[in-house]
Amino acid sequence: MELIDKIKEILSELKLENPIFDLNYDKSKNIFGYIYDPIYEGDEDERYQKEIWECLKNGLSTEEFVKILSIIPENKDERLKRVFNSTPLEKITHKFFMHETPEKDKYWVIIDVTKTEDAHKAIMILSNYNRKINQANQLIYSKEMIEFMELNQEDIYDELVTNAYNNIEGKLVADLMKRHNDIESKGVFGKENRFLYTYQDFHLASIAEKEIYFDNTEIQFFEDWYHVLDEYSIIDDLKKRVEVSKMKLKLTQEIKPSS
Amino acid sequence: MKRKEFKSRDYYSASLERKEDLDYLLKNEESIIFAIYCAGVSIECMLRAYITNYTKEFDSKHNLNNLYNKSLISQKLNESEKKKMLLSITTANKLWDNNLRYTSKVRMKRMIVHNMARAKFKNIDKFLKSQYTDFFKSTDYIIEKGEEKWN
Repeated sequence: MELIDKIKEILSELKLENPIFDLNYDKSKNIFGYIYDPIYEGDEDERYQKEIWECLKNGLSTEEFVKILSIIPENKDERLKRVFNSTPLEKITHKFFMHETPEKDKYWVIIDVTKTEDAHKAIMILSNYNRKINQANQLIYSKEMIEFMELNQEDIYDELVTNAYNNIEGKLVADLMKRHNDIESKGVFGKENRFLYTYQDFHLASIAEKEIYFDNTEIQFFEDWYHVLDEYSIIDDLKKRVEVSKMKLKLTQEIKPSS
Repeated sequence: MKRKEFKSRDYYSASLERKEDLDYLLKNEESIIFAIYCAGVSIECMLRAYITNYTKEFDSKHNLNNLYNKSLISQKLNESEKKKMLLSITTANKLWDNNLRYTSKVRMKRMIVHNMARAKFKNIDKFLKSQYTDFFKSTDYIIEKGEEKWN
């Protein structure tokens, strides 16, 4: 068995959620690389590295173990920075985004920013039922944090919504990368891999509100988030699109010929 | 001077000189961004010194994790040093960015607060202190070990 495969097998004991291994040999057959996993989002690098190290030490022979130069746990942002060598920063003017993959499933993204009595908040929702993804994350910026950032009132929205966009786009890209790697592991390389675009020119595009139509499952997914979105202005636009989608679905059913 | 003329010894000396610059910059809190930049350059030079010992191939990127792997310093370290070195490199790589030389103080503050919000940290002073302390401690360790294992 190749040492890289053995390492992957041993590291499966770590019970990671959805790991992407990026392990390589150097010219002297030493091993170096990275492991991405959603659980590495936390701030406990020392513990993550220790777990990897101990796991490998227990599972490999001494000769195999000394061949490892480094295996580094990385989170989504670190992976994006390493793979794309940059984090995009651009002005975001929309709140709804959609990406349809070559397999015709859809990722929906909703972002918004609101101000409460104590803080500013940014919300990010990512949803794709084919991938069993339906998650919302909220970033909270206290008054002290906003003050420290030296933001004028008119700049707060742009700064927070841009950061929210970069965050959620990163999560989406991480999932597309996972799909690319899954296909690659089945021996499909280069242009033959339909998710190659993830590494080339992917950009999460906005969608005009009047073009938004959800199917039944998507409607259920978004209705689940109404309580979280209550303090954001986007709730009204979302409810409107959900209602329009319901009407469209009903009409589509009604014009079906009876058999 | 063209890059190809840099020898291993040039990188090594530059690393130690940047480290001295860093110690000077750290005396003034207002110079924190350039101090972080300087620390990163010092680490990068140390890793490039080791890389140039055995290859002329130039890695134009500034990812410290990758440069560390290429440097093969780890082969000169015992197990506990290796663990500490790897943690120091990854800690430094989190804050270090070659684009820091273009980063204003305000932009740096915003980047830090976004990281804080993601990590759900509330206390700015505590967060800053831990980020900077870990980063500069890591720099000290990397340069110290680089110097110790040289030759």
